[in-house]
Parts: sequence; C-alpha cells; structure tokens
Amino acid sequence: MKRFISTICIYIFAVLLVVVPPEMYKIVTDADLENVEGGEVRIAVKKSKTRTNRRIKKLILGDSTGHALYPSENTYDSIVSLACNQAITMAGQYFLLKNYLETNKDNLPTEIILLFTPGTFDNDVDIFAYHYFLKPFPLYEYKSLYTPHLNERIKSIPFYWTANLPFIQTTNYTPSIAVPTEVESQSISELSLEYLLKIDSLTKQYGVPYSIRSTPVRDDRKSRVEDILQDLLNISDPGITEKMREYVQSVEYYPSELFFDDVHLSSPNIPADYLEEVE
Amino acid sequence: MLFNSIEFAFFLPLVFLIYWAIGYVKISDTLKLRLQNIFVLVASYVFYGWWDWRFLILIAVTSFCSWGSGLLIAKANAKGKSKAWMIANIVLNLGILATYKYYDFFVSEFGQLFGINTDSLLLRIILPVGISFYTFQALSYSIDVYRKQIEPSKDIIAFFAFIAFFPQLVAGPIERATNLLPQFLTNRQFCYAQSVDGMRQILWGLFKKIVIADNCATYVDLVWSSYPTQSGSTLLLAAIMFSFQIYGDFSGYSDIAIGTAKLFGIKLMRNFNNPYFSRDIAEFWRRWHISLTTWFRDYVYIPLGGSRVGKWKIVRNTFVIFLVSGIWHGANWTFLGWGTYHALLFLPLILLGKNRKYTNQVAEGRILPTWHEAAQILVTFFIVVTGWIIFRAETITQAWEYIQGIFTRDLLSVPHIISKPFIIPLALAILFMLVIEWFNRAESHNFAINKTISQQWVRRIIYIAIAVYMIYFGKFDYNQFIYFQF
Repeated sequence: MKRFISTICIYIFAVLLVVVPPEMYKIVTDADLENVEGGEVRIAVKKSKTRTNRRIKKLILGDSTGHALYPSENTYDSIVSLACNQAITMAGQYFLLKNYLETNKDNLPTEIILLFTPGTFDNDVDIFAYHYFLKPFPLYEYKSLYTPHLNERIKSIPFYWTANLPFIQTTNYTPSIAVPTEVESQSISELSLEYLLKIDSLTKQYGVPYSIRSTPVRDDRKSRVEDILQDLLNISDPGITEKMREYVQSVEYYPSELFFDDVHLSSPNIPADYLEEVE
Repeated sequence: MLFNSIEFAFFLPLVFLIYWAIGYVKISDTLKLRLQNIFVLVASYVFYGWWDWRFLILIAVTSFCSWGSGLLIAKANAKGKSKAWMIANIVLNLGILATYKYYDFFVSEFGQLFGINTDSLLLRIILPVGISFYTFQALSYSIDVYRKQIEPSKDIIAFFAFIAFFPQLVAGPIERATNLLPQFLTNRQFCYAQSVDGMRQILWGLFKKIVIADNCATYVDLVWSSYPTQSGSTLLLAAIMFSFQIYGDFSGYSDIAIGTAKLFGIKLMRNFNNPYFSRDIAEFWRRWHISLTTWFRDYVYIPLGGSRVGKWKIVRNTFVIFLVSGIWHGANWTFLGWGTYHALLFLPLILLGKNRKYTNQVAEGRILPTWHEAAQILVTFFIVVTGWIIFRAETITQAWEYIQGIFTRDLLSVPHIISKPFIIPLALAILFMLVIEWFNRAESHNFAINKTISQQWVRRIIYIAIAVYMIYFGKFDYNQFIYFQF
C-alpha cells in the first residue's frame, strides 16, 4: 500500500516537474499579456514607454468611457491615446503620463487631456485593482511612486504579492476576496485626489498644459451626476479647484439611446461635435 | 459526480484511503468486509447523490425490490410462484424505466399519430442518470436467481453495494450478479500489481475522454450545428470525428470505471475490445459495449430461440435484439433507425452462417494486418460511421440530409479544420490511441503496456507524456459523458 501511494506521488511530482517550470519561467510575450482581460491597459503601458517620432498635439488619458472615444489600441495622426479604463485608478493614469513624458521629453505633446466620466473619481482601489492595476504596473517597477495611502490600500488586496508572477500575469486570475474599503463611497477618493495633484505637478514640471474633461453623460442620469459634480466643486485643494470647476463645466448630456449601458457610448453613436471640441 | 471533475479527484483518493484503512483495522474479517461494504455503499450514494440526491430513492427502491424478489424467488416452492416473483420484479423495474425514459416519447408520438393533444398527459420529468444501466443490472440478478445460476443474497448491504458500486453505477459496464456480487461477499486484499494496472487504465480512459472525445466534440458540435451549409468533406470528417468521440467517451468511461474498481480490489467485465479493428459488423457487435450486447443476448435473444430456430424467427429475433438495443439508448426514432440499420447489416451474415467468422483478434501473431484485413477493417469502420450519423442526428430527416450532404456537396474539397493548432494535436492523439490499442489488442485491456513494452523506463516516459499531453491539449470544460443520458 505504501509502495503504491509513493509510486503515485512520484508520478504526480514528475508530471508537475515537466509542466510547472515552463509555465513559471516561460517568457511572457506582449501577445500573452494583451490576450488577457483588459489588454487595453497593457497596450497603454507599452505605448506610454514608446518614443513617438511624429508631432503630437494631444495626449489623451482616460477611463473606459474615454477609451470608447479614443481607444488606446488605435493610431491617430496627431493624437496619442493612452485611455484604457477606470480600474487602473488615478495612480495608474499618473504612471502612464509619467512614462510618456519621460520617454518623449524631447517631443512633448502640445496638450494633455484627461477624459473621465463623473463616477471615475471615487476609485480608491477596489477588487479589480489586482488584475487591472497590479499586473500591468508591477510593484517592483512602480512601488517608488506609491503614496503611503496607495501603499496601504494595495496591501489590503489579498495575495497582492502574487500578481507579478509570470504565470499569473498571463491569466485572468484574481483573488475572489473583496478588498476591504475603509471609507464610505464618496465622489472623489483620497487616492484620486492625491494623484490628480501629482498629475498637476508633473504637467507643470514639463510645462505641458492639461485639462480634465467629462465624457458624454446620459441625460437620464442627470440628477445623480449633478450630486457628484457638486461634490467635485466643493474640493478646496488649491492645486485642482480650478481644474475641477472646468471639468464640471465640460459635462454635456446626450440622449440615452446613444449609450449601450449607463456610461459607455455605442461606437456608431459618438457625437462628432464632441470629438471636434476635444481635438 | 463526473470522473473528469475536480470533485472526483478529491473523492477517489479519500475513498480509496478510508476503504483500505478499514482493511488494516484489527477486527474480524467478517466485520471488516461488512464495514468495507457499508463504506462502498455510502461512498457510492454520495457519488450519485452529488448530481441529484432525490434519485437515490429510485436506486434504493430498485435495489430493495430486486433483493427481496431474489429471496422470494428462491423461497417459492412452486416454479410458477417463483416465476411470478421474477416477473413482478421485471415489471416493476421496467415500469420505473419506462416511466422516466419512454413515457413522454410514446404518449406524444401516439398523440401525433392520432391527432390528439397530449400536452396535459406529459410528465416532463428529468431522466435519472444511468437508470438504464443499474436497472438492467438489477433485472439480471432476479433472472439469474430464477434460473438458479446464483444463490440469492441474504446480505442486503452487499447487494445494495453491488447495484450502486460507484465506478460503474452511471455508465456501466452493466455487471452480472454472477461476476460482481460474489466479490462483495468475500474479503478483498490490496494488490499492488492490480492497483497499478487500475491506475494505468484510469490514465488511458482519461486520455481518451479529455483529449480525444472532448476535442472531437468541439468539432462535431460545430459542424452539426451548421450541417446544411458545410461541405461534403467537412461532414465526412465530422462523422469520423464523432466515431472517435463516442468511442473515446464511452470506452474511456469504461476504462476509468474498470481501473477504479481495480483500486478497490474488484474486477469488472471488459466492455470494449477493439471494436474499430473489426473485420465485419458481427465482429463489431462482439466488441462494442460488450456488457450490453451480452445482456441482450443472454436475456432476450437466447430466450427467443436465438439462431437455433427457423429462418423467419431468426429474422424476427435479429430485429428484436437490434431494435431493443436501439431504444435502450433513448426515446427517439433515430435510435430505432440506428438499430434497424445494424439489423439489416447483421441479418445477411447470420442467415449465411457467417456471423461468427471472426472470433479471434485481427492479425493474430502478426504486427500488421494483411491488405485484405486492412480493407475489411476500413469498410467495417465506414459502415459503423454511417450508423453513427443516424445515432447522432436529432431526427431521421436530419440524418438523411447529412448523409446526402456528404455525397452532394464537394466531397473532394479540403474540409474545414477550425485551426492547425487544434487539429494537429487531436490527429496525433487519435493516431497515438490507434497505435497503442493496436499493439495491445490481444491484452486484457488496451493500455496493458506492461505486457507489450518490457522496458520500464519507456513505460514511465509514456505515462508522464500522456499526463502532460492531457494537461496541454485536454479539454476540461466539456464535462458530460455521452452515455450518462442512457
């Protein structure tokens, strides 16, 4: 009996020995990374580290509503879009911007535009951060850019340290345990506020003007959105008060039929006048 | 619980360890045997109840009635009385089977025939998994007791364990009481060689199921879902793929079942014996689903007179056996059509007295078959493939359209193959299976490579390679075994 059990264990070990090491040490290619959920984030990270030779007027960052208007996967004549999704948090937006400006410091864009729907500012690291933030922005590369608050929030993600293992990077795995939240939902999170201020300083450092614009909003969500906007107007931090005021003014409401869900426009319905304003 | 599920991967080692741990307890052999049987019964009910516990009641009723009828048959003084008990048990078991499996079909067909709305008469109940398998096992017991081929069991636990033994409960092999029941009445000793052989057979069964059957299913389902628009060559390839799917699925299940039983010191009967290497259709039927074909032979065909009657009765008996075999698979005209198709192919052989022409293994004592044998195998295979089209179709019309499509829409074109990374590993796996099974065709099972490959290191590499191949190319999301529905 002992002999039988040990024989089976040896075979299982032998099979694992053949299967696991190549999985662990296999070279993670761009294709492997881009084929997982949220491949647009990987593409945005890659683009943010790529030198652009043509003259760029506008650099666009944004959440998934911004991505619906300017997908990061697309190439434009005088625009570079790094818009991907909200789950990367405002810290992720900052990392993308920092990468891009550092890589293209001798070919800076004329203007930076951040495109967000009003609900995006409340992200303070949630369950999606493991897959959409920790995997594309590895700890070993970005930890030095963490604020103490972000550091604390990341540590609250179960098994956060496993996110950068090669065989996890290429999967959609995410721990199915909720990330504990410390504060009640609010219109703008501490994390967003911190990193908006960092974005503000960074753009000043490089001397590139920036604006934060709202993406089109469904007209039937007006009352809910107005509450959020009121909160944003109440931000008293001198660094971004003016930017928030401009953001609130940029909110435009469109008929709900143009949207395929609460916030995303259907691609054939993107209003041309809105794109003209941005461009 | 499915053999290829995560649950079973935990269930089997746990049950195995507890089962043999009982064997090591210092108690009397009788008590040990009783405890092991109780444990097998509980484990089997957990295995079955994992799917739907309510249907455990049906198994318990079938088991109890068959056990009781065995005792009553033996106790009855007059032959007529014992026959009455046997018939009562048959009627009860077939009644349950007919209610769950055939009632709705026959009522709705009757309604259609006479233009009556039968909607309110339909039961619309779920078919309990494996009901045809354990019902037939229970029936054979009472018939065997009546025929005095076996003593009735007084041990109710052993009898219940015999009916519900989890490795073969839901998809066979359909065991005979004469083979399996005595094994539950005698002490079992752990045997290293037998257990290793069991693991070998489990590995082979999983390979056939996960790599071959489930990958073939992807292709087959795709083609069948759009068969009116597919080319003839694609339809033909899908028909061939289905032949390997159903073989990989069912013989894979049987291998896992037989291998698992070996781990518990129980020997089950062989269910497949290289059916696709058959030289004619009669040989195919001696090698395909052996436990069912021999069941029908012993309990239906021979009592009807078998082949030792006049020609017209031979014709009748042949049709009866194939039609019953067809309808056993399910309540659909396609199964009857499939049975009729095989009866028509079998009939000339039996009438000419050539149905037992090939009772040995093909190319016995040789490595390769002769050209003549190869041609016979190929022809028989394609005859069987055509039968599987009828079997796989949802209606007879669909089967006919499919067969027509093969010959009328670009049979000689290049078939659609999904993608090379899909088709190449699958084709290699099928080829590997055929090679392994060919070289082991004379052995007790198709993966008895310890008999055909003397170097242990070669065998070890093969085991590991199969496991690795399963991990990389196996399909782990196509779970259902085809024969569960029967």
